[in-house]
Amino acid sequence: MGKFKEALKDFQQLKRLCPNDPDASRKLKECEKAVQKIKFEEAISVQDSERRSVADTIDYKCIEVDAQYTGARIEGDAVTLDFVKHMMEDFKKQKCIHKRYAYQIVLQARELLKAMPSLVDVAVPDGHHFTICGDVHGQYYDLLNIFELNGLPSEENPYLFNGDFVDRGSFSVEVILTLFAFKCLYPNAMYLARGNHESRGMNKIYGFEGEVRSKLSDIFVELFAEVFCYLPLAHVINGKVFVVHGGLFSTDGVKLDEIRSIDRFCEPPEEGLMCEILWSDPQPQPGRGPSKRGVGLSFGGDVTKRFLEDNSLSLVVRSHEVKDEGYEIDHDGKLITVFSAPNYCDQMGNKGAYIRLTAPELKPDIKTFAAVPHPDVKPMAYANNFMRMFQ
Amino acid sequence: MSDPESSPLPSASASASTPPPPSATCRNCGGPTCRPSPPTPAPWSEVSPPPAYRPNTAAIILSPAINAPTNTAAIILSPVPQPLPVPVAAPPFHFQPPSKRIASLDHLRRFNDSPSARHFLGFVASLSHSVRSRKLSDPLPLHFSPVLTSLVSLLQTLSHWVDQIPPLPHQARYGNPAYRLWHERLSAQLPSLLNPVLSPPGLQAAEVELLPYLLDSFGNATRIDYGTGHETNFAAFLYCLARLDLIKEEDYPALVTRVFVTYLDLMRKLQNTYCLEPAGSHGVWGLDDYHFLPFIFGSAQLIDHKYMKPKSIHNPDILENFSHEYMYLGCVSFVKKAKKGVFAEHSPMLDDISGVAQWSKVNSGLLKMYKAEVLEKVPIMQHFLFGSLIKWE
Repeated sequence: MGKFKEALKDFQQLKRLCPNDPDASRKLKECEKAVQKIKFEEAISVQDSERRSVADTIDYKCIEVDAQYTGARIEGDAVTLDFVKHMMEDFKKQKCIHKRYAYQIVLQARELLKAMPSLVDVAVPDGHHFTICGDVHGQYYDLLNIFELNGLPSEENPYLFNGDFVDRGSFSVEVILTLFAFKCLYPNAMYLARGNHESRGMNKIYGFEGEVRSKLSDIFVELFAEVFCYLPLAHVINGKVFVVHGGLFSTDGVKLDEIRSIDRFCEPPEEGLMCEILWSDPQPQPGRGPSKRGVGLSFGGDVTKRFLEDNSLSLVVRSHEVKDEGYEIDHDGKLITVFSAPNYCDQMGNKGAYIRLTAPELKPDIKTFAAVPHPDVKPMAYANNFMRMFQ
Repeated sequence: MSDPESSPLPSASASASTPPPPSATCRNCGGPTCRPSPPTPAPWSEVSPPPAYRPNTAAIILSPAINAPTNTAAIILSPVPQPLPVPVAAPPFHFQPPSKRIASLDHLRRFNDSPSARHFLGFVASLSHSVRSRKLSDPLPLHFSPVLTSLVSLLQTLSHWVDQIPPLPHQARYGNPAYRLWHERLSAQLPSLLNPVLSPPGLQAAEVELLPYLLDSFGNATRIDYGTGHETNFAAFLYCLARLDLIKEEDYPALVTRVFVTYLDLMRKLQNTYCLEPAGSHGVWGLDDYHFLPFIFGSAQLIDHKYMKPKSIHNPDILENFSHEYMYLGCVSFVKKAKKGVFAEHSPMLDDISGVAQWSKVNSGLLKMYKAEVLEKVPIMQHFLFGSLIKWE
């Protein structure tokens, strides 16, 4: 829409300069027509949150589970630790859980996530710790390894997964169901932030959609797309550590309240705060520059410093970029990138990392780890290869 | 929201035969952009059955491109075809009636590894490049070559014949027999129409080699059909003219915006008037029933357009107002008029492509796809003709 407004301005200018030029008049008219049409469509369009949700059409309790099903079962309404452990074992053996339980997990996670603000304040009591993980990208076996090394999520061992849970790696369904199951089990011990890959467009191309259609069903594609829109965008630990998937902003003076009040229930827009949260990258030089990705921006250490000062924060933690050691400390120690998918796409040979913060100091304790073997299903096995031609 | 994450592969003017450099990393996410080796079927262990992609009918209707029988894995790994200058043929010439040479995959591979194929594809890429960010009505350089004028005139004559040879009463959906009458006239009169094009001294003899390409550019008279193979013959004809230096690089913008557009208009007229059957169309698994090149050239035209994005094809006002300026929009408009129903259902590939962020990505993707889906397909290339200008090597 912004581009049309630009074009309209051009044509209006042209008309002023050449009032009698019929070609200019015609083009102005055409552009005005197009702009009007878009304005009309925007006016009559229904907000994402008001649209009929596919979730409302699903009653998982009506789904029968055959007696012959030997996988993990949920008895009753609540997800239990036993179920989650059984499910994780099933996943490890490449068995899928019954759709009924998948629905239950996803629908319950949906309720929990929907109720959260766009910026979540996390309080870690003194003496307690908190673990932040970066991109997992469907690498389920490496996720299992993180839980081996650092313990399963629990009230005493809370985690924040900072986006990009799915796509590329071919075990994305297992990853997301595990994370959502822990969210249902321990809502206050499993925090999930949205990444740029928690979106329809990306999932269509980079494999999550294909994997969901294969392992679950088409309805789940819609369901996940909806639930991803409910994922919070930012987390703040003890008012000090600011965690987002991508990075910071194209303007100075952004306050935490502004982020809190973002209406996030939509596909990531092409510009604005929400877009920048999911897409931006830090740069070594000060100031700001265009993003090498073509969306969002690059921001320097001075931007980070000012943002932290403006909001009385001490550290930015973000993900979004693969790093050799699984992490990187930039901007004079004020920004840490954490990436938890080792040997990314089975090719990069990088380590994964996670950050442990212990209250009240919140000094980042970074652990790195190597990739573990996985069954022979290559990354991007479910990707839409047609669309990849156009990337 | 489309994906800017992965970068195009290094686009050196690598020949078709050299494999892409291994482990190129994406400048955006640092992720790999290609596999070190061509994808081979995974040796599945007992534990993991291969990921069976369940073809579900709803999925097929809504997103058949995922199931499309195109060799997309190979295409992704291939570099984007780059513009290449056409090597000008020098006398002495040995013009000969061209003949078909490709009958098998081996032949096809041999062709695609040859300089002929490289230069032909480079020519198509050059034509595309020459109309970047160019509206059809944008002014052309003053000198409009007489060769181009003759070509436009030739095509207009052929178009005029359609008015003179109306369709005959015919029951079937496709294939009006009046087309055969039009085609007979084509065969009879094309030599004389081609004459003014080959005016420089010594080039009349080229007629024997050029004529068959041009004759086979408008469809098949027996089957009353038309497809990308015929379109490729027209491109080959233009390529031969370029090889004879009758068309120079400075003529390319006019070649596309005047000559090719006139050809396209003629073909649409033939398709509509005589109900030409789509030859070898893949239906929903293909880009378009008849054409490929106007999508390539058309996407180039829209590169860096201030407000039109690939998704703009869904805006009827844009289609209505700008189809005459931008070939891509003209093509989409034509398809929407010709086919009933939801666009996403009858043209899912075009619909998928409308989600790409930028026209430059559409253009490079289509160039890759042209190489793989036209130039590397035996059913199309078995009809390709080889003579002294496009050599069989």
